[in-house]
Amino acid sequence: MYDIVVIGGGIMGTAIARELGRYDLSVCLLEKEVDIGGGTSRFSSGIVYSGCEFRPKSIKAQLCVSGNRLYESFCQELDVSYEQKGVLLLAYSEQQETKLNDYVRWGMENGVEVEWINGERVRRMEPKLKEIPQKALFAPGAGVVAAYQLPIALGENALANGVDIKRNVEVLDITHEKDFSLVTSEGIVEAQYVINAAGTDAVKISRLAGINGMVEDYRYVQYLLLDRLSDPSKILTILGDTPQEILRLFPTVDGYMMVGLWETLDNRWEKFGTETTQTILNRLTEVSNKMMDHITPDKVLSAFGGGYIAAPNEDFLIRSSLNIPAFIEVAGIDDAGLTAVPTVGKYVVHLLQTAGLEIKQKKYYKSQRQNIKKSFIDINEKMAEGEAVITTAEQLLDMAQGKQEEISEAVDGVTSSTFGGGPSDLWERMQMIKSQPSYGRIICQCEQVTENEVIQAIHRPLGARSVDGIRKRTRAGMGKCQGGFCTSHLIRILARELGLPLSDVIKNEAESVMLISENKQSIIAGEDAEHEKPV
Amino acid sequence: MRNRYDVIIIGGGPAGMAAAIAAHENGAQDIIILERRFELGGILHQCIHSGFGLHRFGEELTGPEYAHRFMEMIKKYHIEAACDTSVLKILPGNRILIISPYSGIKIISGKAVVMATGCRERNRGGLGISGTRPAGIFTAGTAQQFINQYGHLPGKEVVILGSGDIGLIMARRLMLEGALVKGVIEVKSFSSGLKRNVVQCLNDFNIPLLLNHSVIEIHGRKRVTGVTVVRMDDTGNPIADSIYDIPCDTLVLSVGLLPDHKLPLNTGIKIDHHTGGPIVNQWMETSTPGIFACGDGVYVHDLVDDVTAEGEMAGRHAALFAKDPWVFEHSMAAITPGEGVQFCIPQIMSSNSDESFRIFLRLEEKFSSGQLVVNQDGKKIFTFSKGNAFPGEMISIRLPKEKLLPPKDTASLLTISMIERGENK
Repeated sequence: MYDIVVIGGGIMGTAIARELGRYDLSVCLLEKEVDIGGGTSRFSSGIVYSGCEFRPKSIKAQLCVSGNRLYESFCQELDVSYEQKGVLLLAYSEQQETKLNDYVRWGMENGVEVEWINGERVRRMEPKLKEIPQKALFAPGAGVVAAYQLPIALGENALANGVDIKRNVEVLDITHEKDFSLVTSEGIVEAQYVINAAGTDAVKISRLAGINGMVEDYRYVQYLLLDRLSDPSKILTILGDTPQEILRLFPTVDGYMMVGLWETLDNRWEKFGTETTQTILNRLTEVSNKMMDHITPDKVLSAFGGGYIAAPNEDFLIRSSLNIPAFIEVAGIDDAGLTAVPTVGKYVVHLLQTAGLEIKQKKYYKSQRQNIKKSFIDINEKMAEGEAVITTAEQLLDMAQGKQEEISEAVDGVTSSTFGGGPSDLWERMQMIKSQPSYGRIICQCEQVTENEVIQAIHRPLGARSVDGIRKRTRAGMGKCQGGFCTSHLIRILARELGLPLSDVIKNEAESVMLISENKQSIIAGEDAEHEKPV
Repeated sequence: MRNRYDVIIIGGGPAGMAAAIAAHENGAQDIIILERRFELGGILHQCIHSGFGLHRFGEELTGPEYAHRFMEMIKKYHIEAACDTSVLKILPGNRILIISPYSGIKIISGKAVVMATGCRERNRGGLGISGTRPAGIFTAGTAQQFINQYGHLPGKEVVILGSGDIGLIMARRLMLEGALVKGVIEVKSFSSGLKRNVVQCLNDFNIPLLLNHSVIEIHGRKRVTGVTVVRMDDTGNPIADSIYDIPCDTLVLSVGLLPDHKLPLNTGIKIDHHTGGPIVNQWMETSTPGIFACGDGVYVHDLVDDVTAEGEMAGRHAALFAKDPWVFEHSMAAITPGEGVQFCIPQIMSSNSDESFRIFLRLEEKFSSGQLVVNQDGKKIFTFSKGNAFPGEMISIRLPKEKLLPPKDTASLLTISMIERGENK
């Protein structure tokens, strides 16, 4: 019997589990997939909102405004990259201006720094923006975070504080008498309190417990991941014609660029589980090129999308269920959920206390979590694409006219900046490779991930069990070539480290096998198989 | 490993190996090849089909056999090869920052450097194919590596997008391993691969080649379950009622190769946006003196035999530079593609050359009766009849030096165009 079971290992579930780890409680988190953070959390933009976007006094405003303020220190504790960028909400039409006036008012009421700026200041902030609006709303507090890593960091930290984290366990039924009894794919799990943080399955989970009344308001987001580019530097936001439609063009914390479109998707959602649609991909390509000339279709690295459920009034739906107070629903989590990560746990603890839970702080609580250490990291290096790529005959002729250039950068010896971020001392890096030579073998060329980091990703607690699991923990395969070079290495290393045949290695979910079988085996089936098998 | 070399070669594939051998034969003493894989030979090791070396050796070899000949030469000449070693950066003064499990992080410097960094495959990203992102989508080279080096089949029922050479060769390879290739889909009205590969890899195995078709959507949550294809009209627009699904468990992408320009770009070496690789002169020297480039890192070649020849050119001049460095005040000409031409190599003609100019170019489209026209600063100086020609096969022309207008103080602009002769009348 657990005190508390958290259903769902996404950003919300892991954030709540991590907070519960502070107290003398027995807590279990159940995740139905192979890895945590594999559901709706995959479609998080990585944006940490400023807080002016949310209606004052709503749960969303309360959690996000306080969450934003805590974000930097929160990410430091968890060793996850975060960077404050600021958001620019562009006002091209009167309609947009009216809506943004709401944001100014809300921002002031929420205590968020926000101001109207004129076109000239917009131009100075974003010199490459083609169509400069009359004015724009600027909120400096918004930031970007490595959202794909956050559930893993939170899960690892929760585990370190005694929370049981069970992957590959699906909840099939829930009964409640005095306590809860959960029928799962791995047997019965009993608990006094249940937290439903099941993302898109939240409605289903509540129904299993006999709780109805969750609103089903389906939304959808689609993104293009773009190459490393230096502009824009802010999170550019354009409000659409309907309140649900928003377009954002923004840098990621890893130096890449993303463009995304959020919209309502009515009942089409069932069909479009995680799909992207041709119309939207084309629109995103066109719109981003219309905003900035250098964002051309050849800069697109990848496209992805997914559905989520929003709650009424654009608020989160986080509450103690009316008929069963010990059943807490955490639903209606849209993209702003990420901003609420530092505070949602505290709020849920408060709800649990109201429902009768008694809590006591643990004597030894580990708030720090360390990420996998890299031997070499060069992500800060900006490709000088603008200056180095010759596009016209005139430029080529100019180049031929002049004396050929020598590399101008002046470097006296090797300094730590030669190596980018990471351990500052060359000697330290050398020692790392000396004691563990696999630190000297680069597996992912784009993101400069070494074999040692991949091995660590598999063997650390709550380790990776899939190709995508390694990607999220190390960034291998998340760069420019999108796994073209490293995927085969990752499959080979996963099979070797886990003692699996190559054909059992999966991409993300169960049964998503990368390779079908050994050569000349898959087609030979049934009776003929025996004598056709190679001897 | 020493700290100083005459010539440092980055990449131990066919271009790098040829460059090393040529550098040695032209007098360079201390040469090192830096290779990120566990052995020299590059991509050749997974190309177990034959067809390599017809021009070079006058016989048909497999990829590993072709590589082996050069590996033997390197052994014979005692050229140092550091495998399992990656180059992180090229620092000013031709100093190379490397990392390996054995020597850790180290800087070595060379009097000359040859970049033979090869190419990478285009992936799904730029294609804008919508749908899901399940397991079972591979680039052709990755699929080839799985079958030929890992001994594992990536799928049972396969659709191949793109009729480039690797796609064609993989169609045959998958059939031989017992998979069913349901079709090779090509957006253009012709295959971009070599003719012999269309015959030997598709026709001989009854694999349909769907020209003017494209994949627009991928289906399946865990593993690919099918793709949606569409037929295009003459102008390249999809025909609405021609959309249909092909059930399959694997989609192989053979949609082109791109020079891997990360290293030259980060070094500040000028990149040609037509080729995607560094701008080079007739000796394969880049915009940075003493740094040469060759092979698929410069532009994607059709035949490994051509890569070898280009590697030798780069290696020879790297050896000469190491012995006696030069710097040009200005070059003689810039060469740029005109109408009907995708790109030209070299892009720069440096001065002090007595050789006649050899220019390689790739066409933009098919020509039934084409004529190449060379303009110098807007004036036609040379024409060249070229009957049947198409983008799948590179064209090489020799431009006699006497045809050029007399040299002047500044560089000339040579523009090379291809026109249908019918239009010229």
